[in-house]
Amino acid sequence: MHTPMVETTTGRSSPMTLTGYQRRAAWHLKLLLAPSVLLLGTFVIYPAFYSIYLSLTNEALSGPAALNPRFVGTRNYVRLFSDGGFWNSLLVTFWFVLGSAIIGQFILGLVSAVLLRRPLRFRPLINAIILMPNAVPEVVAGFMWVGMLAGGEHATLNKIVAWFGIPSQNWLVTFPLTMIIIVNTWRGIAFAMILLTSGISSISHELYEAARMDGATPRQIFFRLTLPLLMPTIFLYMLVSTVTTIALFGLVYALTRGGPGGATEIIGIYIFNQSFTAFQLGFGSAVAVVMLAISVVIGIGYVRLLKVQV
Amino acid sequence: MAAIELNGVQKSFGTVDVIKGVDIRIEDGEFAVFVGPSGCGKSTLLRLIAGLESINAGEFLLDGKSMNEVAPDKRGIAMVFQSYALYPHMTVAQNIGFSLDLKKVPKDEIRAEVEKVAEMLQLSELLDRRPAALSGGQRQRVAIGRAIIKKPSVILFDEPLSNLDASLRVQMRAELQRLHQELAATVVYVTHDQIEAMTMADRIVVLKDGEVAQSAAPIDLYKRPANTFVGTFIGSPRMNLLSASVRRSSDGSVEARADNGWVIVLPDGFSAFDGDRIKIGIRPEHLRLVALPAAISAKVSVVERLGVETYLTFNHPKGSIVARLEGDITVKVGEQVGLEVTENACHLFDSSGASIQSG
Repeated sequence: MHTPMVETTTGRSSPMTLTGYQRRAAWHLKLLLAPSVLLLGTFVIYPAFYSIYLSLTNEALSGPAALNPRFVGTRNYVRLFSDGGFWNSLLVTFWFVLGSAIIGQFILGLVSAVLLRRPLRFRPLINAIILMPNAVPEVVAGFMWVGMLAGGEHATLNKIVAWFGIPSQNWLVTFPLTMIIIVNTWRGIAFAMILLTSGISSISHELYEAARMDGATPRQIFFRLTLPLLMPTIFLYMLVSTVTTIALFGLVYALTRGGPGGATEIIGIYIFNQSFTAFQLGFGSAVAVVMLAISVVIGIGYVRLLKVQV
Repeated sequence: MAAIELNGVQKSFGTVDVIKGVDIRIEDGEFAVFVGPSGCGKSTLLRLIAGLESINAGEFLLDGKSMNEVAPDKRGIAMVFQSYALYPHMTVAQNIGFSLDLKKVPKDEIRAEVEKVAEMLQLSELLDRRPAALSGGQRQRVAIGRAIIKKPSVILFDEPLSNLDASLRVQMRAELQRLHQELAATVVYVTHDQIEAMTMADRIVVLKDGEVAQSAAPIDLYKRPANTFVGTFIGSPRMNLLSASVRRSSDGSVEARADNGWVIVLPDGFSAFDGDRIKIGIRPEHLRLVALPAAISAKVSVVERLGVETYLTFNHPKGSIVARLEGDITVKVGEQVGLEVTENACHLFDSSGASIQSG
């Protein structure tokens, strides 16, 4: 707003020069930021740039290239765009993100957030049930679901569907993509619910009362008041969940390792397989760089939308 | 026609009784103001009338029809909220027309109605703005517009001016009164500001601890407070209260001997016996300076000179007394002055605080 007038030694005030206090304050800020900057620099910025460098080489974990990596220019990228496996994994990732993060987690999270604001009888219990999946480590959750969805009569889901006369099957083989979407939805409802609950709580209670006085039905209140006012939160949720779901690895790897036949090979698993199963670090890095670019573009898109909405 | 009648209305939240049996009658077209200190239940009472809270016991009648079970939007009542509660994602026009839009009124009809209301409230230039781009006074007017477009028979205001600065408040007070005359609706207005209450109301309902302390025209509250609570609540600086004993002489004269040593001659016509303990209420403006020696004399403790008037405070262990004197009085702190109480200006209350004055 206004520049603080600073008393100088001559007694006159000057808005320009920094006082010792201001300099110390600036130093404090830098000092407090230093640990974060150091960590992010070491484990995010540096690896990101190193990946870009690697993607331009034929670096590998075995064979002649491992001993003597060469600069290959854009060859990895050219190969990438003509690689069927890459396009497949991009498509799988698209359906996975759309199905689990954008539709599944979001809709169930929103429904939970709206319902759990009302005085329900078993609210703490329902809350706990929704939050628990998020507390389980993803690999543990993955293996737990493997047991649920496995083939054979004794697998949990098969026992349940047997009551309805449905023959037992290996769910992760019959409906692989659907199953990983369901599992990831199950795991992510809590995050959506927490974020959306906080968004709903920030809407003034008086607005709802005003709407009631105006004669709005609960349905109208939801669609004309809650939902539009929740838009900034929804876009924030979409941003965070899209980017983290694109980068997901452990849960799906524990479930299917990308199989069968690449049906669940989301891009994180594709990168892992290319880099550490096929040992082509250079090519894997190129995929990672493309994925990073896609995430950044999506992120910028959401941020733009967010600004328009607020 | 929209006369409001509350009969034995009660409301409690859990174990807390907020409204403890309220009987009020507000005539059609009246501007009624609920006043009282924080927590007296005035806002709750308003919300009961609005239908935002349910009534636990008693009955709310609007034109003789029970409204207890009627939904808020079906009562023909509109409300202006303290925070205005404007929908932040809608324009001014959308805010004002929202209730019509919900009823699926055709768009061009809504537009026409909104423009009519906007013109009345000088909002025509602002119809396409969002609430965030409006000043406090403009938001206030949008909130009023949203209420009056429904053509309500009753408009409720919940401390509507409390978020405005002092000069805007004076202006809005006048505007609200003009609006009340134009709309001819019954208005119920909640405030803790007695000036708002005194200047705007046809009837003031003073509430205390969830009960009606007094319901009357403003000037009647000032002249004939029903109890010490109303006496001290209305008027600024507040009414002085002196504890005293009644002395009735054989010659028929009556005087009160106050605990601070003052002796005040009282006109008869109140119900108290010789020796009874009473409370005497004297408004600061009903004290004036007289030359010494005088029947009452006191030492000045504080002098507040406002130019147009002067407040003198006289401290005493049995209670301080404030005198409000016209003009700029140059009295020094510590000076002994003579005082006189305006004739017939004393308000008499029994020891429980209820008025014992007849008429």
